[in-house]
Amino acid sequence: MDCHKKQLFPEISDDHRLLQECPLLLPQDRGRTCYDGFITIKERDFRIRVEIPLDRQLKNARIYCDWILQQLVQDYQKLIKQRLQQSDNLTDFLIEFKRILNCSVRTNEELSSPPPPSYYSQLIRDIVDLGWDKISFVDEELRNINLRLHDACGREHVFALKINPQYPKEPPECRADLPVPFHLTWPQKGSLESVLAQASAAMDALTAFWDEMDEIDKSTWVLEPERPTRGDTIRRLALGNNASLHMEVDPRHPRMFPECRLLGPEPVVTPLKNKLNAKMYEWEPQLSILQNLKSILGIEFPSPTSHSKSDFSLECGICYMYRLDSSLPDQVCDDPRCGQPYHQACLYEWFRSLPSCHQSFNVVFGECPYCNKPISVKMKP
Amino acid sequence: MLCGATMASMQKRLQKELLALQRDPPPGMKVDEKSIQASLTQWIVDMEGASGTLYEGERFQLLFKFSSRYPFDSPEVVFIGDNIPVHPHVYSNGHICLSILTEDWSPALSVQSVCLSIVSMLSSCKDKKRPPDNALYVRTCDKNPKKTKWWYHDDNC
Repeated sequence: MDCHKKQLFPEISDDHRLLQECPLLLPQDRGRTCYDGFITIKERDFRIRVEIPLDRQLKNARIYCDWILQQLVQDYQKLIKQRLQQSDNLTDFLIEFKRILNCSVRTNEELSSPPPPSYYSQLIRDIVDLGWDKISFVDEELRNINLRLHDACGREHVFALKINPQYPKEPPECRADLPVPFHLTWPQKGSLESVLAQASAAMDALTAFWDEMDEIDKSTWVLEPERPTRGDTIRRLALGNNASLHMEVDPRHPRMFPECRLLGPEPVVTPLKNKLNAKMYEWEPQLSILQNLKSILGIEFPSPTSHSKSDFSLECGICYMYRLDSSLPDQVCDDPRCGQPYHQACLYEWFRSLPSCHQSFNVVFGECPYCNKPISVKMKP
Repeated sequence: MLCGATMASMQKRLQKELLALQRDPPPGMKVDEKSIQASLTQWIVDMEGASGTLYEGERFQLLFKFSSRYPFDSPEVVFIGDNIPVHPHVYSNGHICLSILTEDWSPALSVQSVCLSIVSMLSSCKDKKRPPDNALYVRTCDKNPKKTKWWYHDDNC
């Protein structure tokens, strides 16, 4: 048994409580200065020994753990020390200690024993019932399974399941690339079948949303996100002339007016903004988002067939990059002949180094580095 | 404030400039690839005097040094090597009196535009001579030309 030093606090008056919490940890002497035995975490027993000094000062107490326990507490030393100092007596501390270990064991699953054979036989049976064609991935331990499903329009979706060792008593953890959270409800006799049914239902509810997004992705230039996933509800569409439309679609009501923000040089964006504000009420929920936007803004969106992406994704004139951390060059020189885009951070950084720039509240005024026309930039929030 | 970010963005920008210069160099100019360190903070550019000018047939070397604040800070640019062009704005130690290298610098400029400016500065020269204060300047100046308080003249020389 190797050892692990820890401070421990003293005063043990509640043998009874301790017996309930840690029935396998017993006092070794009459003075209650030494305890030895086991602590039970997730049905596994770990050897532990606690020594409390004669002065009963928590500062000088020590905990000795077996090596598996040592591995488990390695990342939590600070927390354990803190708990030691906050606890009033040994039992209180051991309750906290067990709580920490419970978390640790959850993240160190390789330390826990494999599920019983019935787990595997049940799971295999359920997979066969479901059909192997629905499974796109199974890991070696048969703990992670990916379900592959197709929605009404043939789009493929993957639901990644992490099967609980208590399966089928306990539900699997389920992850999927959806714009809304997916909550699995687990019936009495749950199986993969019930996951599939609920996943299909969730996908059906989102088909209209994905239809909208697919139409947008297919017929416009999406600047952001770079590679939209099925869960993304945000799109930034190129409008040409360095302008773009940032919108967020509600996945539950995809055909309602999305949240829109127009970005780009004032002379280009202002008329569009005015149109959007004036004709918002003309939004027709039975038409698609794209059709509505086209008729309200009175524009054609540049499409992949008519333009190449390099026409829009203009780099920042200062750092020569398009994406800087997570920001895009959305500060644009208002002179339409220049129209040079910049990142807000780059332009601000440049202005800061110039004595000739002046500042009013949180706006800094300077000149476009390329064409010397006035341009202003907000300071970082 | 932007320390880490500017360092990374400086290297990415220099990388792009380097690629563009290698792919499509202006006439008579060539980046000396051996001179470039991994951090990209120092490059040597070989250049030729433009034909039809007083520097035709001559070869020069320009040393560029970039600080971590590039492109917010101008690069430090000097002529190096055996042949420092004899020019009223070029001191015999290689320092160049050119306003875009200090107070007129803008991040809109680049290695390429600096090179072109220097070529055009040389090309417009009508009389090959050193600056009038060459001897004094070379004796007293800082190694870094950016530390010099330049007094810019017009370019009609």
